[in-house]
Amino acid sequence: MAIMVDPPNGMGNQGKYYYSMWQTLFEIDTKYVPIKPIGRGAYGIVCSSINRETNEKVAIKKIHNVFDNRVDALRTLRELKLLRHLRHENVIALKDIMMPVHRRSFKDVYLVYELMDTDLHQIIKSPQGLSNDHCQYFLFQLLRGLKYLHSAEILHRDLKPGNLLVNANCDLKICDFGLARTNSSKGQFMTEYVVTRWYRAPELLLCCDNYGTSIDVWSVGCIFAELLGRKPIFPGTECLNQLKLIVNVLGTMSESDLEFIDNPKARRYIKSLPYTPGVPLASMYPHAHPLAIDLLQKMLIFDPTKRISVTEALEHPYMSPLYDPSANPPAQVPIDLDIDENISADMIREMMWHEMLHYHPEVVAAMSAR
Amino acid sequence: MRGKKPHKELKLSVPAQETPVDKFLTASGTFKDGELRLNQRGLQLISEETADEPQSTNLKVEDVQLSMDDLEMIQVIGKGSGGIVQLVRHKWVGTLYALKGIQMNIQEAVRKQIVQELKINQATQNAHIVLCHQSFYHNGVIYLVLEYMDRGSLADIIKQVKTILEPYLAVLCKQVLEGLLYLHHERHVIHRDIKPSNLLVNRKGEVKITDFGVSAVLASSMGQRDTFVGTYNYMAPERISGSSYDYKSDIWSLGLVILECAIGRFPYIPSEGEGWLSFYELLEAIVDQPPPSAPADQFSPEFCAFISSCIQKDPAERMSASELLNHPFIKKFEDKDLDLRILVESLEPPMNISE
Repeated sequence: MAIMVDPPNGMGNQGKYYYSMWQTLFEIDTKYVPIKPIGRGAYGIVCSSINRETNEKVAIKKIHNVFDNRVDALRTLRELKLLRHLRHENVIALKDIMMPVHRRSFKDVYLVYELMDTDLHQIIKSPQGLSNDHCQYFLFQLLRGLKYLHSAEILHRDLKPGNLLVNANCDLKICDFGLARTNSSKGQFMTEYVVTRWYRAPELLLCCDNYGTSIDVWSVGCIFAELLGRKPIFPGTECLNQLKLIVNVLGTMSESDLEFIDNPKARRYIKSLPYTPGVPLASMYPHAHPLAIDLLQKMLIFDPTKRISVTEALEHPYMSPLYDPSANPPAQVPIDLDIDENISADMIREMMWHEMLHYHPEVVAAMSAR
Repeated sequence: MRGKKPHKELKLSVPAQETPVDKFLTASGTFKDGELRLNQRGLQLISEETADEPQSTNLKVEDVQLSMDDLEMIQVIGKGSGGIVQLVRHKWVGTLYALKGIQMNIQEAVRKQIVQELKINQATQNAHIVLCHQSFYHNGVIYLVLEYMDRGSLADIIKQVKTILEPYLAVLCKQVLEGLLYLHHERHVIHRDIKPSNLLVNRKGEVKITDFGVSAVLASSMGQRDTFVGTYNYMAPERISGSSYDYKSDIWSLGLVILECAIGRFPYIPSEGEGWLSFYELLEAIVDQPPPSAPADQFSPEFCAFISSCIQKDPAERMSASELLNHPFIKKFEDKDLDLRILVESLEPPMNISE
């Protein structure tokens, strides 16, 4: 499936091999042997590979022409900075970033992750049966990984089934940190993509300026509902439709439920929606465990100040067979994720280069030797 | 270190890893779906009887001369979240094209839509729609070879001139309406995103609609990540409020665009220059307030009536494209042999790179 090919224009680079996979050219370090394309990933091709030095299976993600799209370039840089610091069994590990040959003009980035078998999106839409034990274990791992992130004041901001990788033994890892922010980041909401719409919390849909870790909890609630129902709970077609679907399920909000909305026009919009009594979650998911319904209900609270937190969710009775508070230490000190949104493409490239150096002490040593 | 695990070992039967790719991508790099084949050599529709013997009989004669290898890149002329657009030249013939490249999204629902739209694109022919000459699949990217409009978009033009005079607006309107008439009544398609940057202009003064069909579908595969800024500016009130909508929603968008060209600002920006309305203020203005209008002391009665006919909040009261083509404002200038060439030639070409 992966075919070794001659380098383009007959000019190869030392330390690199060239492979063609589904017409995509991979220029990768010689210690990796590609096996086959996996096809996952929002940008370009991902292929499974073996690291010959460690005999370890990895996933190599090629991001093609990373600087063509500024938003994507910043996302990639942010993910690189963040993943370097994160070490948790429920967070995907970035094991390597291949050094490009041309420091000042490289266009593609090759990221090496630990290899997982599939993602939750594929599982949910497959015929695979999911028992209460499956749902419980997946949810537990997601909450545990999230507790680690939130303890470092990291908001993921794009939790969805496709960003949760799983193995055949049901291990789960959170991936795709391109939209992550620290809790203290200045709001840059209006100029940036945030959570994929179906998993977007009400406070984001209503343009509230101060949002926090609770936006991730809402996304977890949507994912949990999707595990139970095997289809998205709020598949909105547009932002306003998204709000309507949410209100149709939760029912028309009381005055006190809307106090968190600091934009008076947004508040008026919500009030203008027609009255609806809502739909009981128990009738939407008739086969779900009663404790699962109770926890889901606490996650899908419209008002973020009343929504259950990750720690509280782990302490909920539904999680008691799995949760051991003493076994979940917090992350290290908060990570600096602030990147000036206005930096040039060349500066983004240079910062990426510096991230790569952290995985290549031999390059740092060589540079020092000059 | 690890938390307690459930008593019984949990297992998943993992879907075959090759399925996501194998289903739509062959080993030689052809994107396939049903009868459709898309690769470096172009787009083919393989009929059932000859599925085992791919033929080129479905290719348009013109397309036989077009392949990826024949195109050389000149420069990037557009960037956005939907992909990048490059100016390319045919090496042998010298023709210029706009090559739009969009990363393939492997989600099944999006792929199905892309396939459907690629088929529709192949059949779309109208003087006021940007022509898609060919499409390719290469290196994980879908490429559309589009007609090159060398004067950029209406957004580029109004950045320079601020306002456009009524005679030119009538000519502009007529062309866009003819394009919409084709989309609505022959293709039965709602564009859904009529705005200045989707109305392209060439040096001959022709105006053409772009970013519908496959471009819009591909762009919308990123659409779950929509931003608020700009999403709703030109959207019809019935669509914003969640009611059903039809072809008339494109007419509302066109009306706002034309009014913007006339008065020199987006109609829902306060004239006092307070700055942009916030998102929900904009929504409230569009859905709950009376529609904007052309000031009667600055514009002709025919123009004011035309704008009013486009931006009625009740779509039933809005005119259709065919009705508007017979509106007195359009008729008023029809016999005066006007075109946009003079206006367009007096302006700077668009910047090389725009976002």
